Amino acid sequence: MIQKFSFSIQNRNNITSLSIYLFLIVFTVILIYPFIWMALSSLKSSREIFLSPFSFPKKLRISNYFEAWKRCSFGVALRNSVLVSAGSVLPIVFFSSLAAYPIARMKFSGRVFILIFLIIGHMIPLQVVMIPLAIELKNLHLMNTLLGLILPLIAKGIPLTLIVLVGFFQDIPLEIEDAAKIDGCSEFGIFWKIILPLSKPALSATLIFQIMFTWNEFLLPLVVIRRRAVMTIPLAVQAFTGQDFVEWEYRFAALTLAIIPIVVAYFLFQRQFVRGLTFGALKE
Amino acid sequence: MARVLIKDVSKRYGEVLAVKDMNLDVKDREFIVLVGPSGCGKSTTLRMIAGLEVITSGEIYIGDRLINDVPPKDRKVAMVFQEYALYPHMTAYDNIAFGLKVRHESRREIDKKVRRAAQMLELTELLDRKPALLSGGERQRVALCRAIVRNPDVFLFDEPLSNLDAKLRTQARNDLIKLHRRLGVTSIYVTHDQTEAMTMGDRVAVLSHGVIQQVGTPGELYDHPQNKHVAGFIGSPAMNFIECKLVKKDGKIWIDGKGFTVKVPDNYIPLIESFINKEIIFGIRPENVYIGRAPVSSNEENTIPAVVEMVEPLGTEVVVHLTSPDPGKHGFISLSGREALRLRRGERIKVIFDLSKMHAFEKDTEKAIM
Repeated sequence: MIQKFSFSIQNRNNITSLSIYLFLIVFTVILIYPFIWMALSSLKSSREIFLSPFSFPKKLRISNYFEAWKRCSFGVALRNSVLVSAGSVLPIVFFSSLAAYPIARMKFSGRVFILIFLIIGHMIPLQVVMIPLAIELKNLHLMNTLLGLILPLIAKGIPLTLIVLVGFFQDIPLEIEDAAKIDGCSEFGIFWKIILPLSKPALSATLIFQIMFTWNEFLLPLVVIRRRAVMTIPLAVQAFTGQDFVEWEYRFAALTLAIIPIVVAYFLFQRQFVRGLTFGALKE
Repeated sequence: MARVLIKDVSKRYGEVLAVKDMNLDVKDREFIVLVGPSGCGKSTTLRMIAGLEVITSGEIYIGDRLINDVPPKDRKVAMVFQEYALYPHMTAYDNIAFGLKVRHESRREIDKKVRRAAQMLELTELLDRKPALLSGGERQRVALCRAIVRNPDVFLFDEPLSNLDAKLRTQARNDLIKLHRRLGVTSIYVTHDQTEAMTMGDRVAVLSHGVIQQVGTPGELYDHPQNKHVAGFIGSPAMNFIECKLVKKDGKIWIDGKGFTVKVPDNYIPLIESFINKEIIFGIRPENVYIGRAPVSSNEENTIPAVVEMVEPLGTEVVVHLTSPDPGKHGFISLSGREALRLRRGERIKVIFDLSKMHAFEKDTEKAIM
């Protein structure tokens, strides 16, 4: 009797997990297919893309990549994108963690006000402040410079990172801090030697999100950058879009190249990243 | 090595007074236990000594030094926490060494101290493991090791054994006592477990509602509790309390429990005389309530009828829950030998009180009369 009962539970479990896996597989295909399609299209001719959009390329036109690289100065754009991403993401995480720690852990008046004030930044779309921002940057002589991109990106990235880190810091047991205090740590020592190393999952998660956001940023460079020498990748690939035509094969080739660094970054931080998403779900 | 002196210390959180005018003198090398139910202010007191809580009023001295405004790191105290509070990202070795590293001791010196302390607690094999890979008992030992390696003046323990299972707890208790004998460092130990308090403390302070009810050796607390709270808290199973009236009859003093009467031993009369015809609380420990064989001879002055309600075997001892058979109905407990196992629910029996071990408390103030 008991055995039979447990069998039926087993069966039901199997069916449930099977349907979950099916759902996940379908979902994964939906997510990944556009990338595969992009990569495949990047190896076709323009004519082939329109005639048979979903077929495999008849002939692998690797030359598309060389052409695309040359025509949009991809090397320069890649360097600029890396500089902008690194130059904004590292300060975002650094300043956010410095702000998040006192907000999460110390008692002082105005704490909630400061938190809300910083988070409000997340709610204002770039479009709303675009014109004043452009004027400001012009006055500061930052138009057409990478710094003119980096500074607004830092301001834009801090609110979300701050929310994540405040939440994470609050979950670290207070006793650990007490132990460090008695062990002789200063307030900054606790932050640097205990809190930050413990927050690696959250730091990696925010890091990878911000890399993605800044890497894909299009509107801000469109406003700030005119000169080819300081263009980032999203702007540079616009070279294949004219008023009346789009050179899809080169565009796809350039975009395929553009996602490689992101994929590399993701795999570098992936282990920590996944832990960050599930942290706190299980008691250690 | 140092004495810890707590002088008129209070701690207030907003409206709540967590600790009220506390005075406690912990002698050098003493192992003192603060015991009480949760929320009685014992942990707050410990955290004030550690410097993790600001002292609202009063003074705390370690040695001759007033430490009210000294930061935790300069107080020369070490603390073991309930959840151990190990640094999860560091190995056991680094956890133990952390306090020394922060103090910029030389690498060689640190290594020597860590290894010596680890050996004392049999942790040498586990030094390169991170806390997640250690069992509860091992984590507890790492936490202890982290405390002793600093060679502090005072050890503070905040319920360090409460996360261990019962068997391990007994073992850890003995280890801690041995360690204290070996190191001889003044120790203040907080627990809610009266057994821990009684077995470990040179002296025990019983706290309730932020006030020390009584400080004394375990024996003093057990034999001469100063009030009903201490009497009820110390000892397991807890002391029986029965509301009674004191009456005088034939030149003798009787405790009238509405349904039973027992006689107060003659040598207690001077202490209790002034309460004649008043309500009191009669107290007697379960181990002084006998069923069957008793060290005192049974007579009408100490024997009362009772009905068996429940029998709880504990192994060598048996807890028998009883009530008096009359309308007054007092429930009380006897701690008996294995022969009590034959008792059945509802059975009418006679129980004998060893009244030379009786206690009595004032009804309104709950202070001990004798």
